[in-house]
Amino acid sequence: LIQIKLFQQSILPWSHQRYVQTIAKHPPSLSFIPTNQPTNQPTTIPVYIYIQPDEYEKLGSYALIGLPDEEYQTRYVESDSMKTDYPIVIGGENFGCGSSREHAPVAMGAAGTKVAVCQTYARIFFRNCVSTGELYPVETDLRLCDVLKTGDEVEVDMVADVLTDLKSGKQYKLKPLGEAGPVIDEGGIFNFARKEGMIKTADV
Amino acid sequence: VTFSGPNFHAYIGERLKDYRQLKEISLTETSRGRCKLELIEKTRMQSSMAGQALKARPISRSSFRTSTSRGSRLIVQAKIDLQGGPRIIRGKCFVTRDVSLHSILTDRESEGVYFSLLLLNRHFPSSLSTHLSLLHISI
Repeated sequence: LIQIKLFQQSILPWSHQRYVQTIAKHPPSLSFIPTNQPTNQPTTIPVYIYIQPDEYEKLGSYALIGLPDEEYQTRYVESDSMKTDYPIVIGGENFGCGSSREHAPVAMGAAGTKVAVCQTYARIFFRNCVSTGELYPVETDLRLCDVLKTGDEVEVDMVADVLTDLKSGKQYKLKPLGEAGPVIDEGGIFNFARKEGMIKTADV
Repeated sequence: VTFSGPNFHAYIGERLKDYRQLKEISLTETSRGRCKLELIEKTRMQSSMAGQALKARPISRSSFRTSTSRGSRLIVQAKIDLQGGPRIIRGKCFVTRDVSLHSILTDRESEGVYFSLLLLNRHFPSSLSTHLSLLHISI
């Protein structure tokens, strides 16, 4: 109790201020976005974060920004762009680890990511993909990250659950999304809930 | 982006079921959940009829707005329904590898926390309990 009292009385406001300033100099792996006051603009992130459309577009420039330069010579989003040339992301295990916020899939969706095909996903990232409906987190038993390389043209058939390498013609089986699929189809958990009548339809 | 899923086309067909005389329909995605729907019609008369009918739709104005109507070409801003979603996604792929905490840059944030602690300790040098409480809470 004493510790908490000390913290509340004199330290918390000051430390909070310093903390934010320091972070601003060293942005974390994904993105720090300003959360504006609620407006009448259409929201792209549900619940408690209201974001302007131009801020949503800007988020795209932060997609996968945490990948180390020495290991990834090709940037997912070029420094002078907010859109990616790669709508399909191939990964290995634990994709999305370190990104516990909704901003991670939102940033990828804003950049133009449509689907990610990986062996496994970090649990929270997978859930956020479904909640926001920004991209399809598809799983596969195969290590496609060892087969494909960045820049390869591929096609993902969400009905047949097949990924096709358009150059070689090889097809790779994907796991079906199951009940998460319709939620993402609707653009996220809230749109899905509105459609199903779980919550009231928002007045636009 | 091309939405080629059968459900999406069915949705478009349902919305435009009275205007199958359209010569061409083109969709261009402008932002998430919205697209530019360009209806190229055969005659000027049909354009006017289609425009009136579109305005009469029971859809809110902000989500379905007729922006301009010139000659035989009607351009509307439509809020698209991704029912069914894009079923075939084609394009270049970006390949990443297995993700661990060592392969992504997540340690930058901890520098900020450490910096704050240093400053706080300097600001309150006489209070040992403050140091301990801060350290405890931060950890």
